[in-house]
Amino acid sequence: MHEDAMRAVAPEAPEAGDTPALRPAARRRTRLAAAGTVVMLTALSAVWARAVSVSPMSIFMDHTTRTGTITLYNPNPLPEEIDITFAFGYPVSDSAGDVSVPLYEQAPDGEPSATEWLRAFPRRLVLEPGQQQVVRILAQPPADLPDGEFWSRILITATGGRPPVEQQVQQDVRVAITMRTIVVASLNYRKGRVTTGLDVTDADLVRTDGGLQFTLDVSRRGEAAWLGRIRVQALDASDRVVAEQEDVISVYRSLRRRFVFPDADGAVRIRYALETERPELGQSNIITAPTVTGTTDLR
Amino acid sequence: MHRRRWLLRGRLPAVAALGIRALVPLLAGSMVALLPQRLLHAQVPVPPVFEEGIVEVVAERLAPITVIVLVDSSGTMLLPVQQLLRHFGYVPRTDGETTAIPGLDGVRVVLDTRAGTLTIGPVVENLAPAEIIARGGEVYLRADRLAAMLEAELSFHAASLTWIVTRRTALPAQQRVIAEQRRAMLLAHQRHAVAEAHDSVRYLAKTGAGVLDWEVSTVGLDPGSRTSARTRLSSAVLGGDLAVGFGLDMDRITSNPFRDGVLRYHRVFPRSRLVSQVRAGNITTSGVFSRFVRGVELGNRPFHPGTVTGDIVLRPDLPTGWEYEVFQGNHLLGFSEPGDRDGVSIPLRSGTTPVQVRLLGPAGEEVVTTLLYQAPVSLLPRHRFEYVVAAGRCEGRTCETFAHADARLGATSFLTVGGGVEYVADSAGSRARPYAVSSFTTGTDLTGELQVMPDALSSATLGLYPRDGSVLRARASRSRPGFGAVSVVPAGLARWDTELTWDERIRRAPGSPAGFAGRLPIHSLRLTAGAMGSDDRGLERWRATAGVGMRAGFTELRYEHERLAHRPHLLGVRTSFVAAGAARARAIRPLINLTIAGDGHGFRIFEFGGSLQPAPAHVLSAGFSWSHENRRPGISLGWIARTGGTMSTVRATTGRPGATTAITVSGSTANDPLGNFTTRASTLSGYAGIAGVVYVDQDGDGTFSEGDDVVPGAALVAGGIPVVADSLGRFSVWGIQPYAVTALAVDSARIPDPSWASAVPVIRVRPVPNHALRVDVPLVRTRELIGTVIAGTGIPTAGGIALLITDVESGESASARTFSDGQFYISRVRPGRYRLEIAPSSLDALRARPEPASLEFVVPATGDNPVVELPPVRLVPTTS
Repeated sequence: MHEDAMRAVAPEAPEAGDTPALRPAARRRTRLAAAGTVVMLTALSAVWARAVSVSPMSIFMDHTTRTGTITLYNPNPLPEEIDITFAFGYPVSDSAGDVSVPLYEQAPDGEPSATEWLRAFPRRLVLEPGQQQVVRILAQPPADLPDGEFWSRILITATGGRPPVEQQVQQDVRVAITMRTIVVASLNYRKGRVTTGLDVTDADLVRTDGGLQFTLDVSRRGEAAWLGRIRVQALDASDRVVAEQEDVISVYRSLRRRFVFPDADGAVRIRYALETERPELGQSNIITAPTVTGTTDLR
Repeated sequence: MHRRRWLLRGRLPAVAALGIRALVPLLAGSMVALLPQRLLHAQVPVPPVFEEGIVEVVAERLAPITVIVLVDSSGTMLLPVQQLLRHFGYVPRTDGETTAIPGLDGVRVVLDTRAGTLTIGPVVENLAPAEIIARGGEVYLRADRLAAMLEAELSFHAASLTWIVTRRTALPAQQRVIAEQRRAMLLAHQRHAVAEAHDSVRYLAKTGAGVLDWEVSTVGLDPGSRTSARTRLSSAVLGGDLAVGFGLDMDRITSNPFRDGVLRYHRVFPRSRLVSQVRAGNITTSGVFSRFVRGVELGNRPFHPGTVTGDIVLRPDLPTGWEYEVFQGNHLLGFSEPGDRDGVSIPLRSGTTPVQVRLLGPAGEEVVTTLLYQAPVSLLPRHRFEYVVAAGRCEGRTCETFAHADARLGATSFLTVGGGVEYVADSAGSRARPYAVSSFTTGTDLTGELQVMPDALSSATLGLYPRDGSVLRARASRSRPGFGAVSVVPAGLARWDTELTWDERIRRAPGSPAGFAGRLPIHSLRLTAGAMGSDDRGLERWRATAGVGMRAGFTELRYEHERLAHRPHLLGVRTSFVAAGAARARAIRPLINLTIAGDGHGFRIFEFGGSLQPAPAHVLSAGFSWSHENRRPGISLGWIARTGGTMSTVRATTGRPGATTAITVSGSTANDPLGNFTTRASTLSGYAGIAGVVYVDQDGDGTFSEGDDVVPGAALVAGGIPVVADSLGRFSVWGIQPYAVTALAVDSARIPDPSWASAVPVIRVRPVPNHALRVDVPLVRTRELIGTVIAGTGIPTAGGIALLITDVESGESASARTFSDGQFYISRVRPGRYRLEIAPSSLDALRARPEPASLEFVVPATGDNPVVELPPVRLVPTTS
């Protein structure tokens, strides 16, 4: 799964009493707020309000075929109404190295957005319990589209569906609570030959109350997103590995990641490696780049 | 009371709007205390130990139901029995004190309010006073007791105040929903299939094009000595198949190199009932005995005989409360309806017709049994009459002139009778021989075929089917020389042949461990006994075999006695198997045959052979054989390759009479109206083709013209054969059965633009033999249809409403349902004029009528707007 797709909505916690419908004027980031609300609710009642499953969570399209597909599946015992829309976004990080994906209905100026020229077929549907549906994504880019990689996010909104009205005949009192879940998948559209690469702009290792804190700042080269994996090893004075962490990482512009190691193992140095290896996305979809390695000593 | 009002109206305060489901888990520790007081509310006065609350009860496929529950001070919930039983589809028998429902496995479940007992079959459970409460005509039962009563599992999710009911066997209401959905889906599919089978497609009698089959073979390594060629040119002439062929010997010593000349014309009239086939030229007649003649034959036997031979009626006899459905594969033949005693009509097919009967019990039980109906291939549909007449000069030396007439009638669905006469003239004179034939079935137990031609042939074949997977076949015949099957028995006064075969299919016993099947690969057993002889010489040969079929192959033990042969008693074993595991995974597909036989004097026969398929188009084979009579061992090597539209066979053998090499190369070539040539390794003669262009009909005129864009790479299926258009949008497919209605459809999932669709969902044609029909496939731009249904005052909902969209011109209709907000969305709507209506079932359920009653609209063929937005439809209550 595309790491940034997974993280797209998690950090944005809703405010108490807030619902997506109550903020119609919030043009930007509205969807993210909605998604955040839903994810929180989903997490709290995970057993009952399972979302539809979406596969794959990362779609790669090219200018030759201009189409892609996602498959939706409803594992719930009740129908789900699905609404498929597009938004623009990619992972960004804050000063603490926490990653989020702000979503925009309209991409900021200068961003390589594919959102405006993507269409889903169908874009609304009802998934019956246990039903599977293939949704085709069609790109209709402008004729003068330059070479490069263009980004978008697919928002799959699932709302508890209503059974056929013929089965709803019930005179008793009802309490209707509609659960809404938004699953966000990433979409990368490529035209022509595109390249990618990473530069480490800063690496820092300090001792904090929580342990050894390693902060890495990277920025992307080329035209395409850098999709890969980071391995971080904590070394002691004799360069022996005392701890190790690994995570997936997607760098669209620049990114900060932070790793914290326990301070009790005698680590004094960090060795890191960033490599474009993401077999779960289909390695053929990954634009390879030289592995970036380095070491950082404790300040 | 105040809170009850907002619960009823659904106006939750902000914190509730976030979701009661979200908050309650946070309060899990205090659930017992909080549920009755904060989230549940008393409706009517209750004893102090209970309060009333509201929960939702959910079961898969059923609409959630909101019920009033009783909650005691410890948080234990009592659920309303009568209301839930009705919701789950039971018809409980109640007398005020007891409630009885059918349980699984035929047991009776009784809840006795007065005695405070729950009886499930022989087990009687005493209920504590706190477990069962009768109030206001309803009986409330503790959840775990209700679960036992339903033989289900009930789990409570405090986050959503929901009881979830699950059961391994569907509850009756679930079973009904499943059955209704299954029936609706299958019947809709079958309506579509019936429409597809509608035989109104005309046959266009085309002339032209052609198919060339060719073969060159040589024996030995000297091409000039024993090389021969064969060729056949087949063309479409007035819609028929005209074939001209001959063989050519290139042997230097042959004076007349031409041989095996063939000139034949075969025309099928697929929609005619009087004369459906005419054949002329070098033909093989189709009477009881096939003869090679130069002549003419005509008749009304269909070129593609249907497999259905008749109908039989199934009437399952079931206890009260049970229902049934009858299936043939995925085809729903019928189901029981209240008061309907007509049964279900089952189309009987040639060979074996498996029919599944699904029995649905009152407690949700489901039992599926399979019936196997048997019908001989020669059985005709009821009241069907078929005839064939032929006349001509005999080929070869069997006779000089031959004529025959044959007529058969399907007297009933179970019995076909027929007869005919043969006229033969040769040097010994001329004679006419009448004959009679019959075939029958009793349904699932017995089949038979009989043939009698006085002084020539008497034969009977019976099949007995004692149970599923078990077949006993008996065959006996007595024939004079020149009639009946070819036999190793030398000609005599008359010869007879009998055979008895028992086939048993061994299955894994129900309930045995899943892995057991893997350790017991035996899956079939065959025992055969046969004898043949002649009137003048007595018993000539008899044999008995026992064969065991395994997953990977077949092994047979054979004992035979043949009086004429030098091996009067022979015991042998023959085995053949396909290697599994790694070899199969590499697609090498080795096949090995081994035969060892001997008698009291030692080994008589040893044969060992095998083949490998290292690539899909290549097969290598090798064999070794030795026999006591022919002591010189024989070795053979072979290679078969299908490459570049040709099939090449090379075979080298050594042994008696010496070493030989044979090479054969063959192929077939056909052309189509687009100027393409298709080459195949196997013959294309007699088959049909379809060729054309896939294009976007930009101008909407329905023909491929200037300005229309071709669609490269479009995927189609023609007559079941997949084909992909080339870079110019052209496609060509060969090998299709001629005359039959053939469907041509575009694979919509592989059209580059999902908004395009074939102008006609399925194009149907009748292909012509040896000819490629030109069929261009237009694509049109579809639109998305959106609109809204608005619930007027007094209408509870606009969601889940069924809509009907009808093509005004074709009458074809599709259905959709509104989303929860009343909106509807239908994608990929083709250009045309449509009518939108709300389904009567939804209107009845809501007691509403639409305003306007229907909407007519046009989906345009041209234009850039991908969406057609309809005006809203308002639902208002019916006045009655």
